[in-house]
Amino acid sequence: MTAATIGLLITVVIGSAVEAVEATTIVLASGITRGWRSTWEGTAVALVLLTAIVAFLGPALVHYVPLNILRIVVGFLLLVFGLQWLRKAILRASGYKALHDEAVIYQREMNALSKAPKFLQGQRDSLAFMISFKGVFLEGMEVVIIVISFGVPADKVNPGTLQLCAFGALAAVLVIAIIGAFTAKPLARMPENTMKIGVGMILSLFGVFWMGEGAGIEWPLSDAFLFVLLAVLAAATFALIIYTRRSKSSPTTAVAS
Amino acid sequence: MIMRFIKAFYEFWKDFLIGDCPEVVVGVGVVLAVLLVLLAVTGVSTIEDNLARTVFPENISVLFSVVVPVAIVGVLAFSVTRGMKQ
Repeated sequence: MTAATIGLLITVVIGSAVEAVEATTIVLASGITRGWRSTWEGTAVALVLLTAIVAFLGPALVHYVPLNILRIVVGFLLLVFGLQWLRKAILRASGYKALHDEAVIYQREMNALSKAPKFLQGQRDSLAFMISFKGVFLEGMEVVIIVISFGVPADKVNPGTLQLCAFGALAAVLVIAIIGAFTAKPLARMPENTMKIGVGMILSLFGVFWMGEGAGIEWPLSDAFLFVLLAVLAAATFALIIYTRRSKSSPTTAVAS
Repeated sequence: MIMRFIKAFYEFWKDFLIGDCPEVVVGVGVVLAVLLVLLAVTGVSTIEDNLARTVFPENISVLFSVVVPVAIVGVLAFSVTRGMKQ
């Protein structure tokens, strides 16, 4: 296993864990307020659909789409996704945007769900099913995009990487789900914003690298140029965090806002 | 049912790609478009001859390896600055 593959795998695992935390909050809120039967059914249907998407779409993309086109499309998607994560994380780190608080989201979901009409005992609860299905499917789609975006182009060069990324994501989701099941509380203590900064940088890093390669750029130093790009992105991210924090705390901004 | 599915699919991708910061997808799109045009059309040879080969001895990729990351950092900085004002 190369260093680049290990880097990809770590990013997929952390990115999947972040999304799994958000899905776990929704599932817990739905299960505790509305009952577990329909919540589990909604979760299971969403997981089956997501697994099917990775199982069919991933290998199809590997076999039928030329590598350069894959790199351009995937690089573009990764870059857009990564920059959006970085932007949000920078604004949250400086206080311009409220931190993503799983405990608050959990309480909000609990309040909304407990106000909804109750279902009859023994019947299926369509609301619990839909809430858990939608939560797991939408957060899971982001995991699928991360797995396919990272796994497919890398699999063209190193066969087996797609499966490795899929298993890595699955392991991360299972670990978060087990922790959530044992604690029965949202995982509010995870340093989500720090993780998002890290994953956002790696997503953007591979986005730029693959988009450039797909378009025809021959990066100097070959794969080692990834470290140069990482240094540039890290420097820019931390400079922006410092700049936004200073702007937030400066008296002129306070008066203006 | 199909219409609802199409609408949900559209909403997902709209939220995924655009969200509350359309400047990111536009900025990255512009960088990619400029890159593809410059690398694909014949005009690239002019840039290569007049710029890259004189300034950078190897090829135009060296020029792009500087310009592209800087442009992407520029998109991020613009988006963050815009987010501060929102």
